Amino acid sequence: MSTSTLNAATRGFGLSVAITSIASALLVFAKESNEGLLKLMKALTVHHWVTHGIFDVALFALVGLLLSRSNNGNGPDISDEKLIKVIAVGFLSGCFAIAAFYLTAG
Amino acid sequence: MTLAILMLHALLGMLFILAAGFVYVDVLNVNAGNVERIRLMSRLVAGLMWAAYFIGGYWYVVHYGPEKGYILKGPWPFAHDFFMETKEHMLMGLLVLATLLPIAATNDLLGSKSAQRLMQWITALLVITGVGMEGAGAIISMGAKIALLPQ
Repeated sequence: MSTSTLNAATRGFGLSVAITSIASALLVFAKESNEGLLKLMKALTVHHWVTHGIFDVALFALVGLLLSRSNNGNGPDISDEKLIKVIAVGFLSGCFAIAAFYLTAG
Repeated sequence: MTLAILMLHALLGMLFILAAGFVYVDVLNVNAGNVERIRLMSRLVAGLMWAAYFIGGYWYVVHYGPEKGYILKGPWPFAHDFFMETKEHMLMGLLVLATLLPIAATNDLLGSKSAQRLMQWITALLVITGVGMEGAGAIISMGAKIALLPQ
């Protein structure tokens, strides 16, 4: 049973921010190092960046909804302190990974 | 018109940073009198981020191509290779983090210290990253400008 004082939506979408940030960085690595994937992403919409954005928003919404409704509707069993750390570390990891990738790729 | 779109993107980004900073300070002084304002401002922060994303995205996809060409041929190719590439992809993490803010604001902000801390963490990250985005935007603009200056 969760001891969190935060509601299920906050815990679900909070974890989704961390997951989406890291997944987005991984998609950057994948599309920049795989010409076939980049071409596919360009073909799916008007621009690979548009496809990337749709992927991120859809992933955030889907994972957030699923996690919010998990555990019989009580949301993820995670303490408040741990949730805050996971959100901050996940978001910053995604940012730094993207910056480091383009710093070294350039 | 193209410049107006670009300036609107930068303006919305600036308003987003100011609004996120406002929420951070308001949460430091949370009380029964400002809790609904915090929730309203949190929705505004997310709305400004989405507006900046769509307007900036439209400009990037439709109008940035020629400018990118100038930058890459100019003395500051890193303005695109590093700053624009990083900015355009980091923005997506910022978008979902900004979307979390009004969700976090639905918690008991008066009774839960954790809810207050979460709001402060989110808004602090939004402000710091947002300032970085504005700075990157300035470097990209400078990269295009010096590429077009007579050598």
